[in-house]
Amino acid sequence: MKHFAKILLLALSLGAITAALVIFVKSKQIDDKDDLAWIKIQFNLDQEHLNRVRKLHDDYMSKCTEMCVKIENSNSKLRSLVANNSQVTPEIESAIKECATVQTECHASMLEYFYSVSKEMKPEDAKVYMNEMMKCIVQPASRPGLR
Amino acid sequence: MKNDLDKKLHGILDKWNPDIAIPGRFRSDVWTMIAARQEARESTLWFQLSNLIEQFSFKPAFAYATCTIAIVFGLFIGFQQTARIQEQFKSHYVQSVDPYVQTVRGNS
Repeated sequence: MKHFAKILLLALSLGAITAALVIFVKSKQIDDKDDLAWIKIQFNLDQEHLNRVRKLHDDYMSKCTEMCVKIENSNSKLRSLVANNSQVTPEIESAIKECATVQTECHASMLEYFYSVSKEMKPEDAKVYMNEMMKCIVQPASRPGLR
Repeated sequence: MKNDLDKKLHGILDKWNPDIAIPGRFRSDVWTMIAARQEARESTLWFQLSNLIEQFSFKPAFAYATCTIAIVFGLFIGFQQTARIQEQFKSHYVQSVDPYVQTVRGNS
């Protein structure tokens, strides 16, 4: 059994080294602080397209920050109205409508951004990208960030 | 050194003459018991299996096959792991562009 154990040990070491090498090589290609790391790896964008996507992303980020403020304001307004009332008042209804309007605005901006990013990709990649991003808009409950 | 000790031990044992009556079939009984135990051991599934593995392990094809399987398995694990890392990057990207997720994270 000693001979068998030696072969097994060698095989296990080879397997572990192979796995470690794959992980090392793959993770070398990624800058984990970059928001666009996934786009870069998944869709294999060349530098020119990646630069354009980065520009779109940076422009969108300022809009995104504005939207965050709007969401926060409309949410806190609704929260405080709900806390200070015991039934649905016209003010609460109007606050709910305001939240819905903000949500519509946000989804429209996100969609606009997703379309512009997808234009920098190959048609088949753009389809995959749009499918993935639609989950943010159509099924908010399944957002990966909230899981 | 070991041979010297063995010779010494044999010499002492030869001189040793215990005053015990040994049954006539003692020696053959001992050998019969040893043979029976050996047979019982060899008939177990574990012994047969380990014997088979040992025989196989001396063939180069066995070593190559085991190493190949291990490398393929290593590749599989490596790619599985990187797929998980990619999934985390996707999640990171989605969080960065979704103002609702950012608001939830900001509040928590």
